[in-house]
Amino acid sequence: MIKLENIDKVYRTKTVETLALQNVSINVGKGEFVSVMGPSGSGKSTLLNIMGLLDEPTKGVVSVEGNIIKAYRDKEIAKMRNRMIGFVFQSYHLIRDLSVLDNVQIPLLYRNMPSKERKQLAHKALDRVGLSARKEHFPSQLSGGQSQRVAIARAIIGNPEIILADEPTGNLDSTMGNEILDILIDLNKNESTTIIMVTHDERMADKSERIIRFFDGCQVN
Amino acid sequence: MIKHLFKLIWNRKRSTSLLMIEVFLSFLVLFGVLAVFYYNYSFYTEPTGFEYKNIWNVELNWNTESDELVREKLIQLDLSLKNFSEIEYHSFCSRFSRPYSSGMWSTGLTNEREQKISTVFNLADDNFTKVLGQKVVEGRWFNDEDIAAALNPVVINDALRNEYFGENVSAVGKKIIDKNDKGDVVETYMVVGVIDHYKYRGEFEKEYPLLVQRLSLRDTSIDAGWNNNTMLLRVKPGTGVAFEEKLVKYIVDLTKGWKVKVDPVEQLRESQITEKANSILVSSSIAFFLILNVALGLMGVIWYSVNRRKSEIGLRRAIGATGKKISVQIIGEAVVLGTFAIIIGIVFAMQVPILSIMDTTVGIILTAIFSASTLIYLLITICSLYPSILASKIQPIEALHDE
Amino acid sequence: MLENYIKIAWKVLLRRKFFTFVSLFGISFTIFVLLVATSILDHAVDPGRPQINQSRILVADRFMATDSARNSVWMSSPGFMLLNRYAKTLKTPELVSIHSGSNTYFTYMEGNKLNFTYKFTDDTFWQIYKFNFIKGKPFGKKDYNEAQHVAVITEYAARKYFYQTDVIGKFIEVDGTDYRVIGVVENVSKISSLIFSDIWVPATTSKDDIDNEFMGSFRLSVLAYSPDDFNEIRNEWHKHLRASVADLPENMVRLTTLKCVLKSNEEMIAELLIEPQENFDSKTTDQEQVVETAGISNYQLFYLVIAGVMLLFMLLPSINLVNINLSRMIERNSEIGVRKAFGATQKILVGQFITENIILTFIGGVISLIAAGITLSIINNSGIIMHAHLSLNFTVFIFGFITCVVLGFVSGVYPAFRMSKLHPVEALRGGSK
Repeated sequence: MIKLENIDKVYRTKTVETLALQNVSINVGKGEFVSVMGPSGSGKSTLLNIMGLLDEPTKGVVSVEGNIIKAYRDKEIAKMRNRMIGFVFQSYHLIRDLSVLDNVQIPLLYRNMPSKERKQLAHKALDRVGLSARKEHFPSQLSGGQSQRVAIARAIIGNPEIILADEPTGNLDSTMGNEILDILIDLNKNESTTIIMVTHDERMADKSERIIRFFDGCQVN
Repeated sequence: MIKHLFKLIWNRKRSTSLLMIEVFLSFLVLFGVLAVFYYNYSFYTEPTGFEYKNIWNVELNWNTESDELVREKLIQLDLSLKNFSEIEYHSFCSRFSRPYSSGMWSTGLTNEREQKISTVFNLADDNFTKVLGQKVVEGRWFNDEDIAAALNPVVINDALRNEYFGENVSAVGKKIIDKNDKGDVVETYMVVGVIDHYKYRGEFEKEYPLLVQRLSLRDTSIDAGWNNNTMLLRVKPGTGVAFEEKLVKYIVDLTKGWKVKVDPVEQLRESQITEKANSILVSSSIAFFLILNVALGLMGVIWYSVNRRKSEIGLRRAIGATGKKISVQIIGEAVVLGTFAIIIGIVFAMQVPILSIMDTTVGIILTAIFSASTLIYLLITICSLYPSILASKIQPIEALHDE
Repeated sequence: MLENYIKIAWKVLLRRKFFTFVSLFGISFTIFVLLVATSILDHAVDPGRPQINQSRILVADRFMATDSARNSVWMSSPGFMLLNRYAKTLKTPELVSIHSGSNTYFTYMEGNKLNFTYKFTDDTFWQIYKFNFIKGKPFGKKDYNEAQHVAVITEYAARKYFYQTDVIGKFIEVDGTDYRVIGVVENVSKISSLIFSDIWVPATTSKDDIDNEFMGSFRLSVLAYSPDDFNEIRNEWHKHLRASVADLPENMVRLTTLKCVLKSNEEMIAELLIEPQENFDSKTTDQEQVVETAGISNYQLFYLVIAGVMLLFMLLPSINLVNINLSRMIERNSEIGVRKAFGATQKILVGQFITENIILTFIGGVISLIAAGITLSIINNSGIIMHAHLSLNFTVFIFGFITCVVLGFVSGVYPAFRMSKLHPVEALRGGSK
């Protein structure tokens, strides 16, 4: 599904070079549920960004569904992100000015879909995460758990093959965190969506099929 | 502290450069409006040298009539006006000598040092100062003694005396020579008196060197035409339109069909001032709204920058800066930024006297620069005051947790 | 997609009321000033009735005579005799009219002083300029040739003098002579200074010796069959002008180089705003050349200056908007990041932000249209420009529309570009550089 080969990522400023990832090779298969763990600054988030095509590796090859990403051209990359990948962030990143229903529709906006169809799919996605009652609410009126569910609905609405979740439970208490994790597991089981989740929490990670550990930009086993 | 602020602004030059351009343009707008205002105001404060209340301007127009006939009618008019009790004094002058005249007749006079002095030329009779009240500071105004004078008698103003003879040099009894381009003497005048001021074109005009030649209706060397078609009357206070109508009718009858136009000088003055005030009002209100617009924008931008820099401010607080210090810093940054913009603005503004774009003194430009700078500083301080108070209230913990 | 843009633009506007107010204030004010200025300009360029034939009219109002060495220059308006003898005989135009500049006079009525403006004209004047007659009719060829003391007056003059408009056949005193009123017309805006007046009377009734005036206070209006004929008319007029040297009065005999340019309306206005530069290049001895080049360069310069002033005036508000937009970028980092992560391209984002700006500008445009409408009616009623009927007509509206788009675009492009360039990782982290 997603394959990283010999990835290096170097952050450069005028004076300092920071090596965020060093010779990382990972292969995530279709339908897998992978957790990525490691201390702060170990390169987990960088890894996720590269997997999600949000960032370009300094060296190495990324391929998604067998397509090798050669040139990171804005238009093509944006299209791939839109079709294949759904993102869930620690701090939800919902757009404050849009209602829940409108927030969820965002990925479909970039697919030139008629608004009626978009709405239908949004309703379905919200039903899927159990939030059908709050469609007209605004992000500021939601609790943390509800916000994250909206974010998941937004991630799944486009029917992506892969969901990348960056500490999705990091801002939530354990009950809510478990609920969110259950939704992700359910997606993985029933829709065979590939899920890659960055987390700090061993208990959360234990529920996944595979754990990849990171330390100082290197993969450790 | 100031060095620190400079450093902050320099490191953020990309985001502040647009802000700087904005302040710079505002400075230019303010400077322009203020310079024009001071320019006009500096003239306005200089005395005009004449009175305008209870004075009427009478313009006479005759169709093609012979010089002798015109002269005869004018003399008849001159004599008969004394019979009206409403008229205290009356005076004949040329069309370009009356108050608020639109035209100007000027010539170049050459003095002993061979300096060419551009001089305004007026023609007026013996009663001129009695009507308009100009102050004679040396010598006397024209009177009957001048009838048989050998040299053409003239009264000059202070400005011409200073330029022609030198500062505060007595002029009475001295000659003024008018030469043409080839250097031939065209006319020699004898100065009989000096008046302090006569800015006849009104408050907003510069005082030019002035030479007044004596006008006499009986003097046939002066063409009857616009040289003597204007009459100024000093009327008794309270004389109104009823007398105006009576007078016009009387003159029309007497002259058998001349056209007569009467304008109280006070009205001429009012309409000139209104016109000037309107143009200043329009330009300054446009400038005001432009600046207000900028001020609101500036405030917004500073407010946002405070929000964005919460962690920086929090850190400063954590290290030990007081709320007041933070306030001062925010205002200080804006002021330093403004200073940059003002310096660039001054470089541009100074081009006005250097390239002599406007006929004006350096003093006016400097005053305009100074007050425009003051206004910009005031504006910046006011705009950064509210955001700076917000900034001073930022708690260190809150700010550091924001990330 | 557009629907979504509009929706989010609206939400963004509502949320930050202070900034929306600042932006709207700047936009509306800028467009407002430009609208009022254009409407005055438009009123001058295309005043409508009575100048509905404007595009076919050429006017000459300045006359200059110089001697061959150009040592002495005489300048004034052309005189009646010159125009009557040499312009009236022009063959190329459809109609030729001679009319004087404005004369003013006072008259006293029941202790009040009335001030009127009057002009001397001929019969063809009424055919070239289509006045709206409320009562009566204009004077014709017969009245003109027989020097009948008849007058056409405006509604304003009628109300001032007679306190009513039903005044046909009554007598009005014009500068000392009584004239019989034969027509009452709608007021004319003072902006059309060429024809503005309160009263018009036949030029043949003038008490001045206008039949011997080579230079004087008259103007020439010619109506061409079509604007394409302008050059032909100018050439013919020029030939006539050269022939007129034969009639030069005694005191002018040496002044054999005559100049009296026929100008279109735009050229006249350009001349008002930009002092014409009397260009006496020693090489241009051929008068025809002088005639050809006189007006045109001014005309172009005029539009250049107008465009320059407008651009300058828009500069400050634009920079202000750019600054506000850039500042607001920070709080929208997260939104940009999310949109990018879910597949928005840079182009789409630029489109979104520019749309937002254009919507904002349009709201500002509507506000300014209303404000300008109110201001213009205040100007109309205040008498600052006598009898003006300024209005927000189609031209002005189109201008306002274009201004909106330009302002929205100019103030939106740079911030939108900066926003869309933001790296998604950077944006989602919430920081910026």
